[in-house]
Amino acid sequence: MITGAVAALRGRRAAAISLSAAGSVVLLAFVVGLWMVLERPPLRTMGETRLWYSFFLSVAGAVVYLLWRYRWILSFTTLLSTVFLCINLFKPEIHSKSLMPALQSVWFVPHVVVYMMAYALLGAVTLFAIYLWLRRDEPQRREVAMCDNLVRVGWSFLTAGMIMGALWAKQAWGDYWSWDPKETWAAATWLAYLLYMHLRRAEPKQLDVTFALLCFAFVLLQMCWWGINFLPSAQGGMHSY
Amino acid sequence: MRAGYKRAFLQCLLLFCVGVILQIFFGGVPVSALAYPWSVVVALVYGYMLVLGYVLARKARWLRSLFDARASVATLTSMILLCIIFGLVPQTHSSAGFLGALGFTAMSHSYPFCLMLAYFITCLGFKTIDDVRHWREQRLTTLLVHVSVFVALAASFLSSGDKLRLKVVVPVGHTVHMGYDADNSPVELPFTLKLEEFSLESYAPRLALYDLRGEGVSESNLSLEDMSCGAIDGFDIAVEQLLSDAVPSADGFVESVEEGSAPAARVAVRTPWGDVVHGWVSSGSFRFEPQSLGVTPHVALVMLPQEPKRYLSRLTITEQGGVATSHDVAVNSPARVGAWHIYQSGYDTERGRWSRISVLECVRDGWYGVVSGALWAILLSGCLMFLRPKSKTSEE
Repeated sequence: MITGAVAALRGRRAAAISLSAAGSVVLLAFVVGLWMVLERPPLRTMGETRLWYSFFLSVAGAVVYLLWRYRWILSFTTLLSTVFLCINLFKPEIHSKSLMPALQSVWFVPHVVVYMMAYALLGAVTLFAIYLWLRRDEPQRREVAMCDNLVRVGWSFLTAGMIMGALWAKQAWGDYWSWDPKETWAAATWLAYLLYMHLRRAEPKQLDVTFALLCFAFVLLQMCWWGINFLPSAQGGMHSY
Repeated sequence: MRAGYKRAFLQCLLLFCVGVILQIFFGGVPVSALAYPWSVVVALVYGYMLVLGYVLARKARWLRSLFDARASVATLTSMILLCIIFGLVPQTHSSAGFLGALGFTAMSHSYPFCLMLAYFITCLGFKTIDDVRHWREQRLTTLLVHVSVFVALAASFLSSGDKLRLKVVVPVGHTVHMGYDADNSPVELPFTLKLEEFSLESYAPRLALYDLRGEGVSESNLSLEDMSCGAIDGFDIAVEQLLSDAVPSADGFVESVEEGSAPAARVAVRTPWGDVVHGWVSSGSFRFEPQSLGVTPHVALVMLPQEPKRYLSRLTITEQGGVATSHDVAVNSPARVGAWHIYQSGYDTERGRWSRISVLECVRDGWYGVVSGALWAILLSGCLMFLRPKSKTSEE
């Protein structure tokens, strides 16, 4: 992935795409191998979800580069992906083969995988928004349209993940929504990206506000993913595994 | 333009203040007051008022402002802020202190939150009617999102008083027809439940090191599923004999499948300094204490309590008409009887696999079909949004 990012920076498109794709395939092979060794989907612990996030981030970077040819995007996604992999190297948080009965559901894999895909896409668009926001040149219309497209796709994954979670919760304990801390922050995140889409339609010229909102929405997303572990209000929720 | 935003945000602020005043004077929202048949009556009246309000909006500017872009931005922003407060404040359900008086410690039943959510749903309802009235094929996905989110939220909101959750503890071989609500008050069920059998399957026992100086159990452990030897933190462990059902005896443990039996293993442990220790370890049960093996003055080998893999209750449910059906109820696999779902909630954890009771939860949700249908529609709209052609410019 690193060599792919370097190739992209040097303008070697074919090499960049093939090397990045090869990196993603290696990462996917590792995840599949871990799945086989653990004899359960590796989606339970924070360390396991970080692996998926790194994988989807690398895929999102390669797809965005393939579609819109931004040379720097692979460098950013590779850097972020590498950081998460390094965290896993030093603190794997992968120990047990067991999967508690509540997690043994057909919804488990799609719910978490779709969420990780959403997180990766929305992470990529946040990086892009920061780049456009801090750059001296005015953002071009097609660049802002790319932000809109990535948010739309990311939000659709976020929606799918949230609804799958609600249907699963009904099947597992009888309530679609319990305002568990994770669910509360997921609702705040979902609403924030929804606000972005409404604001873009209502105020297409207010780019500073929408870029700031994208950064804020990503902070909410991080709270939902791992930040709540540090909040006293979130101890002992239904999402504590 | 800016005046429009000011008005939209002030409306939200005003509503929040009204919510705070109501909260201070009346406490939380009495959710149970909106039970059937009033929930259906309110739903019909609410739907009629929405349509009437939309028709009158042609002449009333204030009503029109409820479904313009500024109202969307203001209500979404307000909901985000309330959700952040919801996420930050511990939900202790106590009314003590400043945050408790405002209802922030029981946010889902507080007036500020419920009023804002009702306002958000109402603005969404007006927008949905407007979308239907000005229907265009290009806006099909947006219309579907608005309709499905509106139905899901409105139905969930209006059905909250109708929902009944009862805890039912059934001993094996017994029949019960009463459940207990959140206040521990008995409520009669419209059917009887007989627990024919309760079974629990566990994961293989695991061995771990226990630091007697207070460090606790080692992070790494060994599963005894298919291992005869392994290592934990430099200690080599060889399993000489593994009994999946055992009870203590004069020379350690003997195999015996009887109530209260538990797994036990005879192991040989080689310490990093070359000493070898032989002995028995067991996770113990309600009948006998766990057995550990001291391998150094500060470290012992222990067998961790077995983790449940799945547990299942075989039930016979007899309805009021006398129709009896057999159901296997497990976690993620509830039984359904009319508007009721029966969930596997727990068991006697002290006795583990030898539990003689099953803890069930019976949930009545008359709006199940409506909310489920709306959620599936949101899922579909999410997929359609993903498949929608990408916008070419930012102004589209």
